[in-house]
Amino acid sequence: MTDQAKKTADLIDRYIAAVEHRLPAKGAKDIVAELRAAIGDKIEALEAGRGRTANKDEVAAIIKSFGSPMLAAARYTGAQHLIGPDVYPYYWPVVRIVVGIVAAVAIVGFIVQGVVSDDPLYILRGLGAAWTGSLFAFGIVTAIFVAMDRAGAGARIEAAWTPHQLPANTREKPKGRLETLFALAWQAVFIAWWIGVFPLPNMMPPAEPGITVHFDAAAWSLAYAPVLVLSVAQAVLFAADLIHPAWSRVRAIASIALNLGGLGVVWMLAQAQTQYGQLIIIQGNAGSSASRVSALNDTFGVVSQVTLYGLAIGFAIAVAIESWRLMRSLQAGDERSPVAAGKGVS
Amino acid sequence: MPVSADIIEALRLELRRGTLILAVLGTLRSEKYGYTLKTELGGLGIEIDEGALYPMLRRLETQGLLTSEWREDARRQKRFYRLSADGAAALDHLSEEWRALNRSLGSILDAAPARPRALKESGQ
Repeated sequence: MTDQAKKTADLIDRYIAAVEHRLPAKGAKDIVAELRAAIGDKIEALEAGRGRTANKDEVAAIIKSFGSPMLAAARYTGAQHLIGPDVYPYYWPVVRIVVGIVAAVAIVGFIVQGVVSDDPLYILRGLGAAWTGSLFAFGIVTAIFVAMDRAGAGARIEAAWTPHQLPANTREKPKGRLETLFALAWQAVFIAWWIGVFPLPNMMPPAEPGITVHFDAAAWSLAYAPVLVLSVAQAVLFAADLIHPAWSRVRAIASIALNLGGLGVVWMLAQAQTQYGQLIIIQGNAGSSASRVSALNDTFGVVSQVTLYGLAIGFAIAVAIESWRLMRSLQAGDERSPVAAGKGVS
Repeated sequence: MPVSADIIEALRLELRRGTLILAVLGTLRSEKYGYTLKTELGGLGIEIDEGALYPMLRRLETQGLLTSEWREDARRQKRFYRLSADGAAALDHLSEEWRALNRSLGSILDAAPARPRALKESGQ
């Protein structure tokens, strides 16, 4: 074998080895045998045409026409995409929402921690956690959708969809996703605090030595479960808003139910206040003046009373607004507003 | 604004891609190995990249549309492909589809005015 022939044979061997290395073991020998034969055919045809042995550059050009080892091997193995066009339209909005929620919860949670702990480092840590959490969420969601793609879920989702699932075309403005995202993040932080994932330091005024302010355990324990249930339900509603931001009757009914639940909790607390005397207790120690403690107790009694009224009014207004929207929608006959229906006729 | 050459080229490739399998199946009614298949198609004006041809042959064989065997030819081992019985049935089906499509497209393309301007004039 001449030097020239050795060099070209070496180049082909290296290419074949590189492709084989990237193929699944089963069938690899057969594939590369055919690849080697195909390269041989092309070289033979070139040599026949030119009446001489192919040089190294010509062999290199022929090898190049079969593609880089990675591409050549990939063409023999099934799917050449991570998430195909059937699943991608579902993947992209979902990954954005999930990553958004994780990032927002991490940032809001750490800002709250940073504010209450007076340690600005917490905010920086929050950014770090948001970044890590977002990457993690991105990875998990992507992995799930890759599995869905391989299982052919795209076609099944499309087959299951019917036009009846379309959101109502109402005149109510759809909710902004960013606004909903942050509402959800706050809700998550609130739930975490409520179930005691992280404690907030006692920031209640007055910060007077010898006087402590705390919640009346008996009164608030009544509200613990209802508040938790309502908060989780509200979080679910916010999450649903991210997927279907458009106003709908179901959404309105759920919102009315939650706000009525809020009214119920306020009523329970008001009852508890009547029963236990107060929701927030001021305690003084031996060194504090009894009249000062008594005055503070009176003040806090008024504050909690006013807060309860405020909450009740807030919940009632929300119920009224959603009820009015619901009635307006029902009067319009179908889920479309008269305005939209009018446009359709003209 | 004239349509860019890139867009035309992308559309052309997209249009031809689907017809390659039909061309390969049709050519393999008689037995051939990869290189002769490529040159025969090239001679008919159907260019196909080797990098795509061999994986396609393998896939068609896995799908049962082709059969293959290794045989010595001109002192070298080569893999010869030919249409299987299932492949012949699939080819008949696809050929009929192609002819029907061709007839439909023919009536659309021959009847349609070539330029938007012609439409505008007829509308006035």
